[in-house]
Amino acid sequence: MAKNLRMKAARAALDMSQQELADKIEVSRQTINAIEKGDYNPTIKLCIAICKTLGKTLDELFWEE
Amino acid sequence: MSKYIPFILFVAAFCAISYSKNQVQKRKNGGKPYDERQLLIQGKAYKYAFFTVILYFVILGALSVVSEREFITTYANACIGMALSLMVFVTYSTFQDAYIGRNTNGNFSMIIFLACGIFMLVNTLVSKPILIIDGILQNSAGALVLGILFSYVGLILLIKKIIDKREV
Repeated sequence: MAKNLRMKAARAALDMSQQELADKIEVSRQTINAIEKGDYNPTIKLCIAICKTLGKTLDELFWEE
Repeated sequence: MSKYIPFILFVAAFCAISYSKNQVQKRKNGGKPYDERQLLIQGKAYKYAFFTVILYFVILGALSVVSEREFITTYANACIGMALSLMVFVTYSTFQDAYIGRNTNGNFSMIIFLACGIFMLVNTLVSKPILIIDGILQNSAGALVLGILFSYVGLILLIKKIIDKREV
């Protein structure tokens, strides 16, 4: 699975650490790290929570061309 | 009976501390100590642990049938099977960051496992049990196996902690 650089960029744009994002969506920091590295494919529920927290749409963060 | 009172008090205190710590942690995590990725990893770890114990009993059973003799007592056999499966579960889930829950650093578990493991190992070795009689591993090996198991879990948590610190 490819790295999710768009999610990493969106998080960095908000000046948010992995731990801060993890705390907001109630997952572990390692889970955020795994999603960004492309090691874990999150459920739609978690994708939506990430999108809402980062102020992005599902397409912007998770759609692969 | 009175010589057992300190031990009973120790166990009661340990249970009370563990329970209250668990309750505090549950409230902190909103009742969900693990996230979806951790639960998925734990599912895989359970699967590997299950097949490990099955494989262990199949191999041991086959050896007993072929050689037409017993190698181990039932109690020690159960202890070894349980310890092996738990070792697989703990190792896999720990190195995939799924053994310790969210908002937990795992220090309490690590210290408890190491302390219990070392205590059990020392206690067993000091009493110098007869482990093998007529080529059959005896029940006394059970305590030794559990001591090794607890120490192993504590060590795995310690190693993971060191690796995580290096990465940060």
